[in-house]
Amino acid sequence: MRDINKIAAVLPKAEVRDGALVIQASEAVEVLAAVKALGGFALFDITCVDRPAGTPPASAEGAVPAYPACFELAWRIWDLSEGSKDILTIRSFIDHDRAEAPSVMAVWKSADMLEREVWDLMGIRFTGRPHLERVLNRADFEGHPLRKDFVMPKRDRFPPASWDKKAAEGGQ
Amino acid sequence: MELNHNDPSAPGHGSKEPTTLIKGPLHDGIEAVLDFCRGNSLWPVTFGLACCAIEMMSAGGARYDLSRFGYEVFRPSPRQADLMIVAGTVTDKMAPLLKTIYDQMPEPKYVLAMGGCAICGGPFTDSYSVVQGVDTIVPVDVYVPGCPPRPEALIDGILKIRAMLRHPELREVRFNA
Repeated sequence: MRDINKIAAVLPKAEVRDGALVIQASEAVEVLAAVKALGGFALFDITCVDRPAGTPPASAEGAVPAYPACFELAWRIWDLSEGSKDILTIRSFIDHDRAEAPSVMAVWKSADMLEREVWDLMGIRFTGRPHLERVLNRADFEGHPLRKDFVMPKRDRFPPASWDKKAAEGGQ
Repeated sequence: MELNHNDPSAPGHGSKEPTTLIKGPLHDGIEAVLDFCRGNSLWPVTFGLACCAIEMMSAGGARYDLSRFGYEVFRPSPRQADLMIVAGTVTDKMAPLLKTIYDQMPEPKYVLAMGGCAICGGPFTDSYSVVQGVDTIVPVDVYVPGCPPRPEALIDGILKIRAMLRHPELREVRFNA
């Protein structure tokens, strides 16, 4: 197991908070590149949480200051060095009205699908990468369903005529 | 011989009677014999979508042994299958693929909706992305309720299709298992 404080010491702009590295989203690429340069790490998950205002996350250590409503974006990085099964979490907090983060596809190619999933469900726009498209929902889906302000669309039991190309062309 | 019912100019379009080469009692007799044979060797297309598929696989395994009825030949290609067991949750993204697979199956074809999700959306019926019942997409012959149904229930559902093939008048009857 590698000490997270030692990892943070060699990274340019990261602080250790609540067992995770906290960075500015705009610096994600250089921080993740520095982590990758340490060797033995692999990005295996990108997750995002829509945090409403005034609810600090439950913490084992407590004393986490409250912050305004934000998206908490986390890169989860597997420590694959010998004898370790640890997961290094790198967090950043993003404003609601500017839901944007740089893509880390240039560092880890596995970020491709993960970023598309976060875009699909949470609407974080990853910049500097090609084909940021939906993965789990249909391409014509409107909204980002895991956001707190997502309003459930009214659905008929039967799908609209446009769901199937053939049906839209007047077949069936 | 089935004609293309999607083509409005084709003969037989809009009528429920399939256009066949032979008509009358001879045709009915041949169809009855063929239906009897079909009922004993339905080939399902492999189409597992969620946890119901585990029960479907279990039904095909040695313990429940679907093969004693002649239904174990799960085909990887819809062109070789005549029964689609929709085992699991159908999402909006999967729905066009399900329709394509159904369209690729040769006539006559049957659909069995397995489990609550395939019947009406199940616990996900209020979701933003789940189809509220596979019968909104393709015509369903037999519904097997359960979450998921046990393998015996699936076997019973396929036997209901067999009963429907042997006794076509049962198409008009609503079974209560």
